[in-house]
Amino acid sequence: MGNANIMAIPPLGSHELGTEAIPSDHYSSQAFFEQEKEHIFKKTWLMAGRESDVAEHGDFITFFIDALETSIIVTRDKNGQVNAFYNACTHRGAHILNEPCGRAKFMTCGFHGWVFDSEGKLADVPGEELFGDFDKSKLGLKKVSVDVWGGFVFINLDPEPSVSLKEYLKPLNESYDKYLGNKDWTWSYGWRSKFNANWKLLVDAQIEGYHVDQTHRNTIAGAIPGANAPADVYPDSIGVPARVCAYRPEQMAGVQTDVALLSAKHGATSLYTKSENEFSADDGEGVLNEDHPLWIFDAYLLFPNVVLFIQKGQILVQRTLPVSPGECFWEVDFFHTGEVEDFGQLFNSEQGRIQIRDVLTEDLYTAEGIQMNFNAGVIKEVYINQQEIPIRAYYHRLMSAMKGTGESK
Amino acid sequence: MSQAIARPDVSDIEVEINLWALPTTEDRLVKRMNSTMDEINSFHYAMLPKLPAIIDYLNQFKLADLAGDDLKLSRAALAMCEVDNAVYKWKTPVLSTGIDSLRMVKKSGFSDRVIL
Repeated sequence: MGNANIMAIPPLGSHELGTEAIPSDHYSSQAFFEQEKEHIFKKTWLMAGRESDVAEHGDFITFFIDALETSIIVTRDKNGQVNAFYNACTHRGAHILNEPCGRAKFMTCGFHGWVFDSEGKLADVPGEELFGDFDKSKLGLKKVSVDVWGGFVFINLDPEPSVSLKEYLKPLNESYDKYLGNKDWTWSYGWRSKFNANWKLLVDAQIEGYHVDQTHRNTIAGAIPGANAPADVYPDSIGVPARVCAYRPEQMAGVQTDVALLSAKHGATSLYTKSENEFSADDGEGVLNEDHPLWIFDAYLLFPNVVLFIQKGQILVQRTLPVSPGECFWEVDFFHTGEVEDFGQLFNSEQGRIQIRDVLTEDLYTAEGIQMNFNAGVIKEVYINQQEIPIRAYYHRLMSAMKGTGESK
Repeated sequence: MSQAIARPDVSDIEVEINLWALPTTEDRLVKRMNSTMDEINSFHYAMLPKLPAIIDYLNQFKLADLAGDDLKLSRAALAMCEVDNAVYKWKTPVLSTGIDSLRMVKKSGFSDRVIL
């Protein structure tokens, strides 16, 4: 390997992350979960949507945090500003919007018809005179902190977040913001599922390379050897604790099928087959590791619940959101540039989509069994090796957030 | 303009094409999961020799223009992506070391909450 150092992993115990076993009760404890709701889901920046889904005045998306029984509306107002509000009519508390997305320059509550504009102001009240002394200007929708980075809308339930989104996401710099925010990226496909597992287990499964050789022995074995999945930790970052990277082996092992090779002639959407096509990273200086011939992707952990995969020609976003200590929603979404116009591109897209689907079924296979063992108290601590250091960095960040220390770094 | 690519002769595998030319990825997934390995192999090895020519032929048209027998042929070609792992890696119709693929419910957009 010409760039041997690129495969380096931080040594055990580096960055004050320690070497001790990690307790498992933070995956199963109701008390810990209640604290997570307070200190994490009410205090950190959460990816709520894609800015392009609120491109025009009146466009809206809704975002649910089930564990908090909280629904958020994100809108684009007439001044071009992105706003976020609690999805709660200030009359008697009904949800105003129930669709995941749509367009409504004025949002009308289905209960009694109170109308709010896209800035959240109460615009009309049927039978207003029935309320007597009444000040509409004080009854706008309750605001939620919101910002946009990399084309993604993030919300924060803290009315005054202690750090800006930009600060939160360091070391991801302006290049990442521009690259990911490129308007050419369009949502291609995605899946959503519900698991009987703690929300963090679905994150853990994606942020280390140690599992690859065994977990994926029936799919991509050889395409990304575990040893070619180095990791980095960012101890000074508030919102990006770690990343894991993936490189092809110099000698491709495993099965490269005729179908995969045919697919590679027509695009770059498969993670596991080197594309014969090129993809340029406009405004993304340094984002793609294009200098390395074997690089496939970098996957960044965006605390608390997103793993963002960046590769040539594709962005992949995995999100989990908790319902209860042992229950969560998991979803994955893919973004590509350009429309699929001819059959070669469609074939490539289909092959890539099916390969990643089958790989993901393996990634998702272990979480529910682990959860059962944690719930039963059979496993009280877990052991994290050098290659799994992103999990240690994730745990470290989790605990600092629970103490309320991480946000004020 | 480059010369038009002639449609490959697939008359000898018409039966297999008819069985697997299902409209959506999900349809083809269910078909694979409910098939035997003999059925999957029969389809795969019938299609494989002709697949490069089929892709080249179909690739000369805009997707929106594919219709009739060509649309059917395109769906059968896409089914080759669905059976690939079963044929070469699993040797069985369903992966035994993963969750049921049908638990992953297709979304219609980034904000879609298809499962509530």
